[in-house]
Amino acid sequence: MTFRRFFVMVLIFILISSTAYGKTVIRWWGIVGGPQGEALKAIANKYMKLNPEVTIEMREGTLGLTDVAAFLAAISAKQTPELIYWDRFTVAEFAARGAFMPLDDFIASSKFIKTKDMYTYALKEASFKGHIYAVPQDAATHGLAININHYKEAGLDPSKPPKDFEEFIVYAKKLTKYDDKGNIIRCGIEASEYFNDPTPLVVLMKSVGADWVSIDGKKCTLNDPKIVNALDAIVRLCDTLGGRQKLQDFISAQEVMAGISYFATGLSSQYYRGGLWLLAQIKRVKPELAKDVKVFPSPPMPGGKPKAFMGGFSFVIPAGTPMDKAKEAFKFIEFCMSPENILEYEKASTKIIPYHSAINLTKKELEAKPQDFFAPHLWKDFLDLIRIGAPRTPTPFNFLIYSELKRAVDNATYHKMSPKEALDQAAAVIQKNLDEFYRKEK
Amino acid sequence: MSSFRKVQAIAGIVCAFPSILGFFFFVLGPAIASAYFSFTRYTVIEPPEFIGFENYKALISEDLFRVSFYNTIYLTSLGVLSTIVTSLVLALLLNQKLRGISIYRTIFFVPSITPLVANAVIWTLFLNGKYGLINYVLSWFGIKGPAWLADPRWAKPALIIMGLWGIGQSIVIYLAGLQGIPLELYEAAEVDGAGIIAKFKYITWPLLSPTTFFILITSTIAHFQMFVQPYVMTQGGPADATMTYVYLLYNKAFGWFKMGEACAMAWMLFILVIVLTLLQFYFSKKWVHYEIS
Repeated sequence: MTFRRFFVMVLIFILISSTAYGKTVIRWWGIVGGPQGEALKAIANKYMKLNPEVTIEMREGTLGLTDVAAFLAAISAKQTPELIYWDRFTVAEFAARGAFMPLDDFIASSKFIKTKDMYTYALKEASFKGHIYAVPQDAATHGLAININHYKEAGLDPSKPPKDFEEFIVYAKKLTKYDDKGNIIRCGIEASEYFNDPTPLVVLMKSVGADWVSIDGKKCTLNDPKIVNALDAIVRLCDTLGGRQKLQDFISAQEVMAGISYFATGLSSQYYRGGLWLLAQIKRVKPELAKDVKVFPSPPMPGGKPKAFMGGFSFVIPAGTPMDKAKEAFKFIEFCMSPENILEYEKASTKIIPYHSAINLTKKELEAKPQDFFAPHLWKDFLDLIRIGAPRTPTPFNFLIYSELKRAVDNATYHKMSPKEALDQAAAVIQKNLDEFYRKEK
Repeated sequence: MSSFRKVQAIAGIVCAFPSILGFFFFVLGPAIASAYFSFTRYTVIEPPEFIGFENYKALISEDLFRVSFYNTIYLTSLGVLSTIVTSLVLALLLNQKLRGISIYRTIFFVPSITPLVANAVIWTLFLNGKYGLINYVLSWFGIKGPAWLADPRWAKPALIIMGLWGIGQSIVIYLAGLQGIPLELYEAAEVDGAGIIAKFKYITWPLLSPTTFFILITSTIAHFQMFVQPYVMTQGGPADATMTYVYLLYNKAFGWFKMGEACAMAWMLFILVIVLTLLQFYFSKKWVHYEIS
C-alpha cells in the first residue's frame, strides 16, 4: 500500500467517525426475527430518517425467554443498552431484581401511551408491585383454530366447536388419522404445543380460575386440585390419541419444517392455542388453507369459562440508563406506539397492539380496507378474542414456573408420575424459590 | 546466564506476555471469581450474598441435580467405552495397505471437523422414529427401531450413537499409535506362530496403551461436558432423560437466576474430573506401557 492510499483511507475513516460524532445513539437489543423483526426495523429506520441526530443501533436476538445470557453479561460489565424489546412474560422477574427502570413517570406524561388505554392483561404483565416496568407493544390473541375440511371429513359440524376440553378430546380422536401400523399421519391436535411448552395447561387452569401463585404471590398453588384436573385431562388427551411417544414421534417427524406449525401445513386439525401469527405461516406455506380455517375461543375445562392469554413483547429500559438517554429511548417508544405506525406494524407482523384505541383503529381499517389484510375473516375472529384475554400472573420466577410445568407435563404424560405427584414436585421447587426470594426481601 | 540467553528469555516472555495476560484475565480471574460466587446467592443482576456451603447442600438434595448427574455418568461411561472400542476397530481397519486408503481415512475424519450444532441438527433427522435413516436401515433387517429421541428409554443411547459420528480424531490418534509400532515385533511373533488375536493381545494392545490412556482421559472430560446435543436436540427431554450436568448448569445460570448454584456445579464438576483423572493416572501404572523394552 502506498503512503497516499494509506492517507486517503485514514481520511475516510475520520470522515465516517465524525459523521457519527454528536449524534445520540440508542442501543436497542432484542429485535426478534421474521416479519415481526422486519416491521420493527422499518419503524426504527423511519425514526432515524425523521430524526437524523439519532442513531438506533439494533441487535437481534429474542430477549426475555431465551438469549438472556447477553443481557446478564451486559449487566455484569455495566454495559446495558438503552432499550430492549422484551418478552412480557418475564418482565416481572427482572423488574423484581431491579434490572429495569420503572416507567410510571414517562407514561404519565406520554401523548400516546396511556395506562387506561391498555388492555388489563397486558398492563398486569408489564407491572410488578405497583410499578410499570414495560410498555406493552404487541400481543398475539389466541384461540382454537380449526380446519373446516377436516371437521367435515370426520363427520363433525365446523360451526359447533367442542364446548369444553372433554369434548375437545373426543373431537381430537375423531380427527386423528393413523396408518395401518398405527402411526399418526394426521393429528387431531397441534401436538407440539402440549409438550414444547405448557401453554394449553396454563389456558386450562385460567379457565377454572386457578393460578400458579396465591393472590399475594407468596404461595405456589401449582398443585391446586383444579390444575391437577387440567393436567389429568391433558394426559387423557395424549393417551386417547395413542400415547405420548406416538405423538412425540409424529412431532419429530415434522421437525423438518422447523418453526412451521403442522396446522399451517394441514397435518393437524385443531390448534388449541392458535394465534394471529398462524396467519403469517399459512400465508407462507399454504395460503389456500386460510378460507378453510375458523377460530373460536379455546374450550375450557368443564364448568369453566373460555380464557386466552395474549403473549407478546414490550419495551423496557434497563435500570442505570442515564436519564437523558432514557428520555431519548422513550421518545422512540412513543414513536413506535403512535397511530401512524400501529397499522403498518400489525399488518406486517400479524400481531396486534394491545390498546383499546389501537384495536378500534384496526377494526375500522379491517372494515374499510379488508383487502389490505391477509384472511380478513380470521383477523376479525382473532380480534374478537381479545375480550377474553387473561394475564400470565407476574412473579419473580415465571421462567422457572414454565420449566417446572413443562417437566410436570412430561412426567405425567410419560406416566413417570401421576398428575398430582408431578405438580406436587413442581410446586415444591417453586415454593422453595419463593420462600428464599421473599425471605431475602424482608 | 549469558547475555544471549538473557535476550532470548526476555524475547520469550515478551512473546508469551499477551497469552499470559489473557490467561490471567479470561481464565484464572473468572475461575477464582466463580469459586467465590459458588459460596454466594448470586443472580448476576443483584450483588452476591455470602451463604457459605448452602449452594452445595441445596444441589446435593435436589432431584434434578441427581438426575442430571446420573445421566452424565451414564453417557460418559458408555460413551467413552464405545468411543474407544469403535475408534480402535476403525483405526485397525484403516491401517491396512489398501488402494485409496487415504480417501477412506478422510471420509472417517470429516464428520469430526463439522460443527457440532450442524451434526446435532442432522442427527435429529437421522434419529427420527418414523422417517429417520437409522430406523430405515434397521427395517432392512426386520427391526422396528424405537422413537429414539422421543422415548425416555432410548434418548441417552441415541446420544451415545450420535457421539460416534465425531470419533474421527480418536481414529487418527489410534492410527498414529498403530503406525508407531515396529513391524519387526509382528514379524517375530509370526515366526513364533502367533495368530491375529495373539498379535493384537500381546503386541498391538499393550503398545497402544498410552494412546488408549490419552483417549480415555480426553474423552471422559469431553463427555462430562456434554451440552450441545441436549441444547439443540432435546432440551433435556424427554422427561429429563437427556438433562446433562452442563445443560442443567446453563439453565441455572442463565434461566433461573441461580448463578451461585451454577458456579458450585462447575466447581463440583472440576473436582470430579480432577479426581477421576488422578485415579486414571494411578491405575494406568498397571496397564499402560510407555516403552518398548
